[in-house]
Amino acid sequence: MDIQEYISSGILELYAAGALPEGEAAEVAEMVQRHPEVKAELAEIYNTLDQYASWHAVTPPAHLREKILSSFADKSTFQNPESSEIAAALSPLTENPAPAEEAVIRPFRPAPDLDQAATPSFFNAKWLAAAAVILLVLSNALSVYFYQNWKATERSLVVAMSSQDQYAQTVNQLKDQVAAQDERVALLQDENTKRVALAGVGAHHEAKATVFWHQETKKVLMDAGTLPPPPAGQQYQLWALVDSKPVNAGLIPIGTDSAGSNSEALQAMERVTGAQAFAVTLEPVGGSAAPTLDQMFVMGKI
Amino acid sequence: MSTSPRKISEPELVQRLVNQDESAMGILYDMYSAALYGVILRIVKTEEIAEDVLQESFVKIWFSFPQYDTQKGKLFTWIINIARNTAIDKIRSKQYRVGTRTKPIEDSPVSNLQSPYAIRPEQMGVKEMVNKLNPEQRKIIDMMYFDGYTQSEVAEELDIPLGTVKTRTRAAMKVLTKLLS
Repeated sequence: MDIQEYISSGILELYAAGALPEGEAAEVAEMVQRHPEVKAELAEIYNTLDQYASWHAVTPPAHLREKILSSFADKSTFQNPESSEIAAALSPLTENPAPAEEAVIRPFRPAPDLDQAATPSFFNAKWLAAAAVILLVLSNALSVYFYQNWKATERSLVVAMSSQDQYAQTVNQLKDQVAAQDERVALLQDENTKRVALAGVGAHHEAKATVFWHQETKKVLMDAGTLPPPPAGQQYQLWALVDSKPVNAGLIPIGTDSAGSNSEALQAMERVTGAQAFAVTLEPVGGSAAPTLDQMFVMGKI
Repeated sequence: MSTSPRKISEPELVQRLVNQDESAMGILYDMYSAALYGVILRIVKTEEIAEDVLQESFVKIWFSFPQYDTQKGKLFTWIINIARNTAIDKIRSKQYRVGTRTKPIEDSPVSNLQSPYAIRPEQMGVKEMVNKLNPEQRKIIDMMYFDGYTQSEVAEELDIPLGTVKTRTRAAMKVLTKLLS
């Protein structure tokens, strides 16, 4: 495949706008990794979309800033009283909630004693006022405490939800893979499928590969067999011989791991009509328009 | 707490976020909240939901920051896509659809380009620029970028082949790039 052609196909634009199905998006991501010119083009597209997005800018309501940022400042609220007026007012209590709870109980004990003394004096009122103030402070402290708990819970929920999303995506990917496998198995079992053994040619006599060709749907599956890992910058290309002329039947994807192994045993190739033979040659990454005949690895007649 | 907008360089901001520096979130907010909120509002269309989505987006940015890879693109691209995806997930979620599904076609997102949130640019001269983009071209980009349509959904909605979706999108993006340069 020609890189320039790939770039101008519009697939990168769709990728950047998030409109490609997952399988295709993964292929694009691989191309971006492999070809700097693809990466540069994608960066330019993102640049345009970023600016387009910025055109729509609307300042959010002022109250949102505090609301959103406070959920990140939970920890620091306690250490840095300036960040919240409530926390500042209550800092001795909130820094260490345990003593605050002790402080609650104390005021209630003297109260019955005072009642028994039956002196409705200012002394009594003073104690009541003190108790009320302490209750108020306590209730505020608890409010802050529960508010923080609630915020933390809310955050955990968002995190849990996003990991659930990721699981759902993984499940979908697996479903797609299983469906693709089922399709391949069905094709292999079909009586219209021809099995073409490709034997090693010349110096590559030890190499072997197999092509499965469905006569009606013209679909082609390829088992790369014992083809050695291609050298860097090169890739195997399958050719069909139609009326004595070589026709491109697709590229055999390269496994991207360091071992260079093929990522899947059976690869779906291009559809082929009226082939008399299949052959595999080694070509530069992206493939060639015509086969490099001295780089032919395997071949098989039908 | 200072309210004046603070700005620092992107690498410095990224470094502080990598170090889990919470105060950097304030800077990120000041620098980018308007862009994120504008995009979210364009997608979800109501301010109430947009506020929730903005909050959710910042939480996601904070928690998934370790996954951000400077090699793969700019910080802005990354966060705008988080906001966009969060908002699109919202409009695609069940609760949201129950209320909107049976609405007539005039209310579908695609024909909503004239809504008050379609374009509310805060910069001068932008409106004229946007108008230079022909409505067909803007529509195809907006369908994907703001309404979360996939390639096949666009093809179906506009009744054009899949390949045409690609070529039209590329053409539209070229015009957009030119307008911006």
